[in-house]
Amino acid sequence: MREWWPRLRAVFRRRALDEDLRAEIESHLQMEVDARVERGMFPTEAADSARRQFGNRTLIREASGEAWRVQPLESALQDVRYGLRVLRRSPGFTLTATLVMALGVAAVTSTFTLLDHVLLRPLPFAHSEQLVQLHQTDLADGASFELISPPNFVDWRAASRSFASMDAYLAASLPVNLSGQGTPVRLDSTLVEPNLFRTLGVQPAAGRLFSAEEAGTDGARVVLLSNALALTLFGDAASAVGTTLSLDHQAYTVVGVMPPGFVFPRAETAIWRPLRLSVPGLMANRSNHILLAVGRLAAGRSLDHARQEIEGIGKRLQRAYPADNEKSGAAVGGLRDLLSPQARLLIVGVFAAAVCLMLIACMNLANLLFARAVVRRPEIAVRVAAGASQGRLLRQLITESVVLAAIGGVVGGLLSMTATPLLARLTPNGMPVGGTPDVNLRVFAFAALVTLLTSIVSGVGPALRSCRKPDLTTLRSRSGDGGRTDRLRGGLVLAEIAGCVILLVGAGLLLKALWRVQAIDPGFRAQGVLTMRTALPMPRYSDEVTRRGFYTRILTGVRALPGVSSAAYVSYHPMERFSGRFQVVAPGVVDNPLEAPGAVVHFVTPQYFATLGIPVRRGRPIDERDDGSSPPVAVISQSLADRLWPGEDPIGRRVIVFGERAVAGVVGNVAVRRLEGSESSQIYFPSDQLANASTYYAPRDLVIRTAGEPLALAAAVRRIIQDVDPEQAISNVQPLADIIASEIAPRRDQLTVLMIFAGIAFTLAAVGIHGLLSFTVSSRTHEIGVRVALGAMRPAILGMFLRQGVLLGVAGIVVGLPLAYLGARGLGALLFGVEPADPAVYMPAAVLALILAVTGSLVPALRAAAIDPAITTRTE
Amino acid sequence: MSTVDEPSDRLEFLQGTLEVLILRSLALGPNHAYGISQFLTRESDDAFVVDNGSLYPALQRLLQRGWIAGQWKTSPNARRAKYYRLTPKGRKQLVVATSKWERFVEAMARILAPAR
Repeated sequence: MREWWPRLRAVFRRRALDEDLRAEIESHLQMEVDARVERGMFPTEAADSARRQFGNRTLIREASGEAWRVQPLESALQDVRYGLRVLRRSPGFTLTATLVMALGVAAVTSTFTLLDHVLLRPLPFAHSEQLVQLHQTDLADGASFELISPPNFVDWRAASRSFASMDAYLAASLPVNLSGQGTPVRLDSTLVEPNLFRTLGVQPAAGRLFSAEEAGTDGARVVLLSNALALTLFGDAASAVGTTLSLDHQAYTVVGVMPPGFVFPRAETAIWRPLRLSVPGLMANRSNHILLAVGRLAAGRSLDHARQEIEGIGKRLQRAYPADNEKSGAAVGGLRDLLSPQARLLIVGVFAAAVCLMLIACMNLANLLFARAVVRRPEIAVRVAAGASQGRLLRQLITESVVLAAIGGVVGGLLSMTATPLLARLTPNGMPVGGTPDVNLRVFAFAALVTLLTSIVSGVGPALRSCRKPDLTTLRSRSGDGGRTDRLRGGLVLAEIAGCVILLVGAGLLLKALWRVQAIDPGFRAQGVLTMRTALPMPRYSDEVTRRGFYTRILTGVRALPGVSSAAYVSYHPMERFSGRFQVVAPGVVDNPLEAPGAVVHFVTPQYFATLGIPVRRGRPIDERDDGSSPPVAVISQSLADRLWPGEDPIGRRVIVFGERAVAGVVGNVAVRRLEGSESSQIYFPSDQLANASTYYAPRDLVIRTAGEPLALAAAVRRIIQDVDPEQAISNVQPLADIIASEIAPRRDQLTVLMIFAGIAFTLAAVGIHGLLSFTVSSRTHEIGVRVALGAMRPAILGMFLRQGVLLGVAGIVVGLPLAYLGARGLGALLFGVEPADPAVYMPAAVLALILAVTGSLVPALRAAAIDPAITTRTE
Repeated sequence: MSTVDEPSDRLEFLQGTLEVLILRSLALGPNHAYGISQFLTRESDDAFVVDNGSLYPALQRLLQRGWIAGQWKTSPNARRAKYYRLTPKGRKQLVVATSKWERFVEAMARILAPAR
């Protein structure tokens, strides 16, 4: 083909070209007439003669136009136009098919958006494939994830050769109070080694990154701000640089602002301060697991190199420091390894469910097209008789399904844009992916691919079938299509039911797991408890007496509020992941700290146990007599008592944690760090006896038990706190019940998504059965009429079709159940102890699928039973 | 009277010849379809039949290749007509095609001559 461009242009200027040609021929003809008149003919005679001799003007025009034609494009456009016309003529079919497609495309696209955002997209750092996450492992617990102690990290960095650079950061969030900028606020900050952001390969949006000197023991007080914070405080990034902020009542200079969308290590992190590993206290304790680190692989080094090297270093440190490192290993992995297996599974699982739904939608579409192919046999036979080639017909039919899928794809794409914000709630926190998943070009490309695949998968079968040996008999008789199509369509419906069963079982298992998690007794009563956080800025409150004054004044005020029955301060309210855990040595029972059981430490004020409703089993709770001058005491959880002194009275026994203390009481076990999973014991100390412990554990969470609605108290409590210290920031004001609820929120969200999917699948499968049987009934109308005329009873006919539907349903269930089991085993970690083969889930799923089969076939079966032989036999 | 009735008297155009002849006719100056047809009949001493069914598609092909260009003008006897003219590309093509046809005719003649 040459001269493509003028031809292509001509395609779209066809009408103008044709008009021009017509005018040219007219003028030519006129000249012929003129010439004849000049030779002496009469005008009418001349016109006749000229026209006769000129030839067929239409044919000439067509033959000339042919020169411009671009064959494949022209006929494709023609096919699309024809397809649209055909679809417009059967709006019911078009609407159903579009809806089916749209649902499928929307489900897959939105879940893919999430998958892409969290798992696939390269992390937003320069050459992110060279970046690795370094962490310790806890060999006592199956090499599970553990944070790194500063001395270990320094040794790793000194000994390793596989990294171009390696920098640590504080894993936990280090909230700071920002004052002097309107109302005091609490912000999430973290400490990073000065070089960390260079290792990550990010540039500041304004100002500079930390310099190496800023990690020294007496380095300047400098901070980097997140872009969002800089915008809030100063209006733009550049004007933030050089300003001074008061954080925990100390002045810090802003040296730089990070780019928008930069997330590290958490979405909430708004302030970075330099981490000073050279601080003597940090390097003293090899068991102080507080760090994580990011490394950039040296040129030519692979992750495997690095892994071998780091694991080797870990083993050497294990031998060198048996007291601290006996059960510690060193590990390296991808940056996404921070994502918990549950979170990963959740996203992959939801995507798999969406693919399942998409397949069901595909099968439904194929089924609809099959039904239409049969209905359109006469039309196709006419077209074959009129000389259409098989290839041309096939192309026409596939074009139709592509057009159909494209419409569905566009509607589905729009639908997924609205569904994506909903799914965004499934995005796990705690890894450096920024913002919310957005529908980007990759996602659109994916949606288009899915649409195209769908249209081909669901369109080719039916198209092939309708083009195969179209004989003239179809022109004459409309009924009696062979059983092969029926069987194929039955197979598709069967697969739909199986898919539906899989989704129902998945949703059922997750629902049961959710119920189980909800039924867990956390060991305290969350109802009626309000919590809020006043993180105390440290140099200002490092003095025990000042702190005590603060607590007493606030608690006295709060307890006087109407409806409040008790109030207390605690280091961390329950469900706080970063509450400290320490080995509890009991002289004479467990003297070796390595063998001592661990317990989560809380420093509490009086009334803590009463406020949370934690039962006191033996002895007494921590109360007013426990102050800085009284003998140090501890209250331990039942589990710790059982571990240390099984069957004995622990009251008065000695434990050593932050000095030696006497056990004053035993309280009920509490789920302190999370609702699910194994829990360590708890140990409680009076807030006034912080002496040897870090001020990190100074109580900061206020808990209040009230008879009324907890949040109704918030304003009054705020006023009390502001009266005591106007510069104190207040954060995390929420009912304890909400904190518990947010623990199971990911489960709930995931279940919602899966239930919606199962609901859609259910509807689609019902439509599938209904469509199949309706079609069978209408193509057998004549036969049924004859049967009735010959004396067949209507119930028998009803039964005949119902049986067909139920058989399909049963077959679908039989196929679906084992597949559902396979899928359920993959869900393992999310099931929270629910057996993947739990019959209490499979039975209802099977019953629902059966109900679906019956409901779907009822209407067509009733219609079959209502056939009037007088009418049906007359039509023939 | 009609020439179409006695095709044996006239010669059909061989594949590709009509295009060259149109180019040749336009080498003398712009002309319309009727004029080209008249020119070819006249210059061949009525040996060639110029069938409009061949003439028009041939003109379209030449337009497409960019060898000629068309423009509506008023003819001397006050008729609106589409005039074609050679483009520079078409002029070059005419030279190439002419020499090709001369060699072709020569070769044909040499082979056919002894049989006479």
